[in-house]
Amino acid sequence: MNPQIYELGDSALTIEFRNEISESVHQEVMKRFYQFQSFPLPGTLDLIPAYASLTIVFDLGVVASRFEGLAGMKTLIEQKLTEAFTAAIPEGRLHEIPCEYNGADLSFVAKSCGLSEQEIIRIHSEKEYTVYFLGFLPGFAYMGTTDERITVARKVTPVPIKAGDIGLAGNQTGIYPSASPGGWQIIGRTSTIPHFRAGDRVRFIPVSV
Amino acid sequence: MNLIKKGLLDTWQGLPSFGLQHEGIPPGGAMDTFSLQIANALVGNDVYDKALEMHFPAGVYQFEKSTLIAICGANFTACVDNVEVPMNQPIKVPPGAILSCKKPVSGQRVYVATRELKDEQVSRLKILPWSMNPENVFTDDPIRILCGREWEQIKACSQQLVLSKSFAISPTSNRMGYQLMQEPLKTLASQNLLSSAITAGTIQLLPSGQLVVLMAGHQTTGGYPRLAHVISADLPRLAQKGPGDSLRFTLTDPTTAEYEWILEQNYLQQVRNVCSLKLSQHRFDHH
Repeated sequence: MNPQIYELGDSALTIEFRNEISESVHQEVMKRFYQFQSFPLPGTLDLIPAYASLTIVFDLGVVASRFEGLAGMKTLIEQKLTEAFTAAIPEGRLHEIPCEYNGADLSFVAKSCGLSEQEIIRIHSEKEYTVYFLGFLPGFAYMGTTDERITVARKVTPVPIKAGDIGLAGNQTGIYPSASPGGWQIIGRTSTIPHFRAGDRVRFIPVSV
Repeated sequence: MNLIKKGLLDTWQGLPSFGLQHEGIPPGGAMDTFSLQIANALVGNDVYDKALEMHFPAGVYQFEKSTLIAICGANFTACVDNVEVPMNQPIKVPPGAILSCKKPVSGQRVYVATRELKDEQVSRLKILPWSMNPENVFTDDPIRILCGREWEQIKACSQQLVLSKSFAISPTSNRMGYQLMQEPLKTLASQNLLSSAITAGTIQLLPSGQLVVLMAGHQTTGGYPRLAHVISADLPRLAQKGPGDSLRFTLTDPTTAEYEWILEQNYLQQVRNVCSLKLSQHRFDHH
């Protein structure tokens, strides 16, 4: 896997591993996340993992005055990526999340997938998901990938969503950690929102309402 | 400081706090970090202290104790006890004094830095005899941008449009981002990308063909094409523009972006040095 490194403005670099959502690409992202967390590059302010990329945000003052700017940093990262990997990668934790499958969009999802509500519940709850990264809202975990039978489009216009609502969008699933406008199709809800980390595993356990 | 009347959007803001974006927590912070830092310097605050960021109509506040204040950024005709006070200048206010803003003249966000004067009882308003006038900062020059990851994917005519047209800032713009109004650009075939990190200053191409510039309150990740990025040194200037204003973009290069940032930081350091010298001399003369 030959990653590409590109500038994200004047003070961040994104390392893009491969443009796809997959376990293996994501494992590479997490490996490098922990590498640059354990052995930070000078001037590092933030490390932001995503599906297939890792972004490093730098203190522009440090980078510009001491490392020939982002261009110099890019060279340094290229070199680090070839070095042997030594940081420890914490084991992802498994979260079992009780889910009341009574979301406002459950019947719409069932209809648009050509399945019964019971089948949607069974398919959503029988798979173990990976937390790919957190974004959108503080603590919002992007999890995937869902079974292709329950792939569903986002809403065109976001609607108000409550904390604890569980939604679907494309081949992703997630829990809203706080009330917010959102475009995901809500199929259920939970009162248990753990502190997620990228790399964690998630299972939804159906509970009766 | 006690709130007497709430403003449209008054918050205490400091420099962005980084380090938690992997938890989905954005760095946030003041929109115009330049004015914030001038205000903090004028009252002798630490660079990481927070100041009151206000929009118009701004809140009305009463000081409980003798306080040193400085007002920077937007000119909203700031008044203490209904008397207009100068901007970019340290002001001693007595307990009970009331700060209000009467009329917007220029800019979008005012910063009020405050420091309680613990060893001094101020009996009447006193304007200290020095000011930091950040001249030539809030000009109408084009906002400088760097090419984004998807810049090369838009057509040459769209690139030309971005670099030649004047964009109006939409009324829906806020601390999260500025929506820009212009004839819609042609969107990309791969309009929805895999979500990845975004930063303040990232210019995204929305599915509607319009552009949005992400500002201080942006989310940590996004999936729309990143056409360009406003350079860090120009973000404070952009932050003082708002609905009803228009702006132009011009392309620059990373070396210029880095150089301009260093210049800005050096200028702020000079301001801090001069202000702390002035304040210590003043304290010496005073006692």
